[in-house]
Amino acid sequence: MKTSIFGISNKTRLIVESIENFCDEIEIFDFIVDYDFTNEQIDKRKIKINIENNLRNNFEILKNNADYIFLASNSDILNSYFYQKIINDFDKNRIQMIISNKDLYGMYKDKNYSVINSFDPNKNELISIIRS
Amino acid sequence: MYIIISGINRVSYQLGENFIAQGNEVTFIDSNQHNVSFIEENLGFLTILGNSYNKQTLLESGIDRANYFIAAQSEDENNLVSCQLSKFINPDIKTISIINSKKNREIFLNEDFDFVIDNDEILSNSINAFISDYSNLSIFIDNDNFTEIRIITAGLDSEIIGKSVSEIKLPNNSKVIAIVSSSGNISHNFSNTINSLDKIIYQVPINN
Repeated sequence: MKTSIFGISNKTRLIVESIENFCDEIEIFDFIVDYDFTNEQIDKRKIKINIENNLRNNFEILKNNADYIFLASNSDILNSYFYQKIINDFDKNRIQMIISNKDLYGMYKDKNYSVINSFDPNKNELISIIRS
Repeated sequence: MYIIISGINRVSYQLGENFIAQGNEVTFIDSNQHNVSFIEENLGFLTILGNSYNKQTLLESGIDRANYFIAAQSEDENNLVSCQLSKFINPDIKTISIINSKKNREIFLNEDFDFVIDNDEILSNSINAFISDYSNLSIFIDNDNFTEIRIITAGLDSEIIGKSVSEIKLPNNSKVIAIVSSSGNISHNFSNTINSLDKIIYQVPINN
């Protein structure tokens, strides 16, 4: 089972910690290198970090062979953008975007997007699905 | 009318200047202090410093009473979310968004966007029209009525020169709106023959 994550943030750390024992592969994408995060993950064989400057035009790599996708960057705007790029041909129940701004969260919740406002691994439905 | 423009650049400045000259009320939203100062120096105090994908900034700009919201930023993701939030706050507002990358067109084709303008396509087709036989350009997508406005330009050596509109093969269910000559004259007499660099403006259902 493979999980893709867009964005390197503290939420990414929590997601990785929550699912790494349940996934064969975790692929993380961002525009720039976060050396602290890279150093933290360097010994983990199943975790791959991809720095892709052209991710907007090459967004398909987020969903290539992925069973689950988390959009967990610190930018609500980019999380939303990639969600809308991906969702046309990806199962809504297998993707989750994290939106911190409460107004944007309320709007996307109203649109029935697969969105959460804050990340709590113990209460997260997609984490539960992956763990099961 | 009250028009809010998100993003200050050459296109939006020109738009705002024209809207004001026509007697409309305009507010610009931009997160760059330099851009905001430029508008204040040239058009007056019509600006709000902030991001148009922030609800408080939009409310401060008067989004709840605005007739139009124009998203003219250089990042499509900002235009996307700004239009969605504007429509969410004020469902009666008409949203117009510029698309900077053609690849993003599909995510703008829904009820949050009343009109969508493809920046790259307009520019490339305008140039192409002078040197190619024939260009067919979408300039406006009306998501409410599932139609788009397209322009055919007759290039200098185009095969459509000398033909009337009825002799030109247009997509099914097309409705010709006007013919604009290279000198800018607008004609609704569709029996006239087409000259080089004439433009045929027509409406067609989306996906045709």
